[in-house]
Amino acid sequence: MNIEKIRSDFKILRDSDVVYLDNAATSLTPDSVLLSMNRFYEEINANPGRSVHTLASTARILYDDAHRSVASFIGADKDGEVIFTKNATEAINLVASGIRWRDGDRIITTAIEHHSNFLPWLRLKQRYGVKIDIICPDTSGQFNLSEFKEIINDKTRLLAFSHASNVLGSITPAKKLVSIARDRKVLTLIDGAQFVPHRAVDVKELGCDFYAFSAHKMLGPMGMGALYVSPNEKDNLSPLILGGGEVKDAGLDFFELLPSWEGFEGGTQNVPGGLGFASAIEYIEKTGFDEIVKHEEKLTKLLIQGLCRFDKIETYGPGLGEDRTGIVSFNIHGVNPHRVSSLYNEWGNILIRSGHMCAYPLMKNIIKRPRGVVRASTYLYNTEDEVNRFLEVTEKIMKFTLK
Amino acid sequence: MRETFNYRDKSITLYCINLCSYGDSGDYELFPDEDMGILLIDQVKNLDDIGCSVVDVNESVGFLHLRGMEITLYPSGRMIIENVKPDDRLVAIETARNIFQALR
Ligand SMILES: Cc1ncc(COP(=O)(O)O)c(C=O)c1O
Repeated sequence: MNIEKIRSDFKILRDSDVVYLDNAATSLTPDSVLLSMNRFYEEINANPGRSVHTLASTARILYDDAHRSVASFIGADKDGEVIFTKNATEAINLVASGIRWRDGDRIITTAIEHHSNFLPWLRLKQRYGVKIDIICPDTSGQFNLSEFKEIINDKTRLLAFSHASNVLGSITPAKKLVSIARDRKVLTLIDGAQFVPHRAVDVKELGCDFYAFSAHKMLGPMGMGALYVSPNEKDNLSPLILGGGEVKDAGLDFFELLPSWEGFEGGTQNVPGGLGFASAIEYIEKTGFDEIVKHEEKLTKLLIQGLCRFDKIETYGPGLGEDRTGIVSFNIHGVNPHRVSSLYNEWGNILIRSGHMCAYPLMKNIIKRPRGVVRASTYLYNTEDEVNRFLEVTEKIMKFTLK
Repeated sequence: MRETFNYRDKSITLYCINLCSYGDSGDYELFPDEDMGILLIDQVKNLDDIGCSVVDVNESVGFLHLRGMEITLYPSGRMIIENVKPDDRLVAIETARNIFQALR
């Protein structure tokens, strides 16, 4: 992997000496993605599928191609198994509001979830009395799978879990969990927001019913996400919103939705966003996950080893050598996370995140750090030099705050 | 949210952003629209005069304590105010304005 070449594709990296280690919040956007979106406005700019003219038809074909690229990227069937959404949050909410819940239904989720994969279930509890069963992992994010088996009962309708934690960097054994759920005829939703940007996914191999993720964490534009829906569940799910572009037929007292993704995407869509999403995927595919994984593993190891040298730093998540993504969360003993992250920014132009990371249940119940953590997260364009600069500034912060 | 105030005969706009916080207290980031060029080391006495204790300071950062709030102040005027009670942006803005007005 040619890091210098990769870095030259990102204007922010070309034009400044910023060390961007906030990739779990959002990733940077390469020129090719920006170009594809700009080109849409400059050369096409028509509403797909609404008008019979050449630009509208071109827009329709490109937008359909974008769905096909995203679908094939996660191993889904290219025809209609992937619906575009605003982000992973909307994709999960689509499932929460689109399933016809029955009296007494139960949902299993976990205590490491991002609020996007937690609050929608809590709302179902408040609104419809759906019962929520919550499985807690150990402090490093590892689950005891037998707890899932034991808690499933005849009323369990859905198992919803994240493929990778946005705080711990831990990876959930998704295939095993799906298999446990399927054996008991329980639906599965996987929140892949922190996994898809970093590892190859094959939804058919996983066997899940729903898979949600966002474009902006994988070099794509903000305001774009996707939901995979298995063919078995397609007809059981209602769209989040209804309106133009979705119907095959409608009358004074009925409507019939189009098959495929069209039946789920009401109103004028973010077409340039869809093209940008496809372009981001092209960029990742060109680089290759084998290379990306190797590179991130190297940086993550360097980060963790460097932080572990300081005995006043507490890191979270799986230990060195265990499978994990490039997210490294930590705290400096006795120093508030926001203070720490602002010091990285001021003293090293290093951009990271601090706080509860939209994961209060995890902060309060698993790692028991209600004020949150500081989080550095790597991606394909980060370098060992950047990690070393991060560690140098860490040393400076430690010296000043703990003297 | 933003507020404009006078600092050394100049009008400065202060922006205030909520940071994720916990329980009944709030954390905020505040920053002025221009670099205020504060010489932090020279301000210890002035801050002390308004009851703001300077826990630690060097030329690039000051750690302050004021009525239970933990404040991180940078020479540009950027500030992180943590543990604001009640959790209200107006309280954070008022705190920042008081600190700026204490600087000489
Ligand atoms: C694990 C996880 N799930 C869901 C989300 C929500 O993503 P978005 O804000 O793009 O909807 C995030 C965002 O950080 C996340 O980390």
